[in-house]
Amino acid sequence: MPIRDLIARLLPALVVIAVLALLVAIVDLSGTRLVQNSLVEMLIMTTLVIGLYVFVGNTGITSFGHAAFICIGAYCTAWMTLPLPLKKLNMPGLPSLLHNHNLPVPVSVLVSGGLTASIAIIIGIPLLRLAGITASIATLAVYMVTAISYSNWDAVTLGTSSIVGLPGYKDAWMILAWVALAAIAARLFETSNIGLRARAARDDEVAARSVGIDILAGRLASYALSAFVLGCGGALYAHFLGTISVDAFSLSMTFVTLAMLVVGGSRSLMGAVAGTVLISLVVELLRQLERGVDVSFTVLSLPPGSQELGIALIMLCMLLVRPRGILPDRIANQTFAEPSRPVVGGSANDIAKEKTT
Amino acid sequence: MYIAQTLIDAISLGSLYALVALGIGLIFGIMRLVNFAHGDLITIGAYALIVPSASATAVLWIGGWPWPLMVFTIVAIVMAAALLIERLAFRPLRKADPTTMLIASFAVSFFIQNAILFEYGSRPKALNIGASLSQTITFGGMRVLLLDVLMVAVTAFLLCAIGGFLRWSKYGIWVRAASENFNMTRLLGVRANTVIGIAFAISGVLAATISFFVVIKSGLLSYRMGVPLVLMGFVATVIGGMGSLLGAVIGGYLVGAVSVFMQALLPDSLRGARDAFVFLVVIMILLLRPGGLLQVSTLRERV
Repeated sequence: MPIRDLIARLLPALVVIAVLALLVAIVDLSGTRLVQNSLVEMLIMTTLVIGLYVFVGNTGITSFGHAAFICIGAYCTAWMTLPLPLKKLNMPGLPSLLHNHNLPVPVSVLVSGGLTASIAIIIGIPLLRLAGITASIATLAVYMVTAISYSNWDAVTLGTSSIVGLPGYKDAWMILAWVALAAIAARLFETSNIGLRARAARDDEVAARSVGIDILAGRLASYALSAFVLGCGGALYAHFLGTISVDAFSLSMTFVTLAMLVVGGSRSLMGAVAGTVLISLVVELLRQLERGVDVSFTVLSLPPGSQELGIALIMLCMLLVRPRGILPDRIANQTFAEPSRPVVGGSANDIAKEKTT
Repeated sequence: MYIAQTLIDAISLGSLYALVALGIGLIFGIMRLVNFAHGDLITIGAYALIVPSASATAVLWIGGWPWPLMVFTIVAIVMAAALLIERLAFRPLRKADPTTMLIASFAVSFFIQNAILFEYGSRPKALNIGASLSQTITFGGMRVLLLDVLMVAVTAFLLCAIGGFLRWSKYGIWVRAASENFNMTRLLGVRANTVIGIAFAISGVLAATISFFVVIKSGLLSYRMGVPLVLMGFVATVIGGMGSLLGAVIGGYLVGAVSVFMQALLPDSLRGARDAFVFLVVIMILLLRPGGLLQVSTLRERV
């Protein structure tokens, strides 16, 4: 029953897509422009968090460097879609092919993902031999190198100034399609042979090695797919904003995306998306409050900065109360899909840990 | 002469990074916690010098007190902040895995930064204290900043004091035992809270010292001033070998030296990207010696 099998594998992705589609439909029918914009931003963040999840969830290595991939994707799409006269004037360092030709936005987004993934493979081969915190620091170092290079590579990135005039691409349904692709790719990967091997290595590296699992291959594949999704997400983000600068991809972005992943639960796709939706809602709420709420005769408003304080507090509380994420373990581990084959998500090791604590 | 000058710069910058790295390494050794919020302790120390307000000009508050009282108060404030962070955020997570704690410290850092932004505003503020330290003295034919000399001296003193404390005092021996094997140390009757408290208190003293030097040297306050420092300190700890205190100090001096020599050796066009080259060197060192220069045997997983 290949079809039933496929549906069972994709079930969490389908749930995610259905819920998000419902949200988009509701906003489409009733929302104002402002709400629509926030929704599109949330969808793009979802893409980014799914990209982050593909690496963190499958390898157990916390990445502090994924903002680098988002940055690379965003700049790449700028090189391929910025109006030609602007490009010739501002980016003399680009090859002449790019000076004379542009790509349609969706193609450009894919190419950006491809470039990002290729870079990830090149740096991943030496870097992913490292484990644990050393690997996290290495990803941070990669981020620093990327951010500093991009803010000094004036001939193609305009240095620290912003690139403006990117063509817009922010129809909610179109972006939802990208989220759907990312979710499906993430699920297909984590239920594939190589994905399962990567997860085995995540749970117990020594045991995985002893049964002949190639740890580097699993990590590298996760890294590449993660970078691909992040690169596409970064490109979408660039077209959403219409203007990009290296500052937009700072450690704050790393923090917010990481917060979304951790609050939701970094071990399942549904958790990652749930965290993104929750934090986006909170951010939106705080943003409205910062702008001020009309309470009959007076306007209440929070001072600027409350947004970030709110996110940090929520994240800390979540770590203290539910370190494994907001979703119940049963759902996060997807054990309801096929009880007889608990290969997906949860592992014997997790269960053993729960019993001992 | 030029080489000697560069050497002095390297030692002075290295001292700064060594102090940061030691503060991070001390806590990592015991709790396996990479304390990202350490840099924000430095920021707290710096901002405590001025009156809390969002206005663009900074008005001295504690910074205007006579210097022994000022030093004492700032050290006390930062130490209290370090202990408070431990109590509120890290103690409940003590049993969590290192990654969860790392993310929690990231959240604490983000929280402190935005709390400062909230209270003091986002604009960097100019602040002028310790002007008498900015004069140069001639020393064997070389002109050196008095501040640099003081920095190297204070660092040397702190390193010796902390080294002696860890080596000979009862509490220091507890701390070293705990970073060797925390559970065994507790079984032998050492209180976990005491040891961790001591480590956080020392890291607070180190952070406060750095606040002074950074403020006097740059004359600027900004709510994210701790971030580049903690990144470098972080990197220094990892290069030196996570969990090894001597390694952290060596790593700090190494990162300082690499930064200064890159500054001296890189051609003008690449100098703006100096830190990118420093981080490239970091990646190289990590690849060659993933466990750091001084590997700690208790950190490797045994089967």
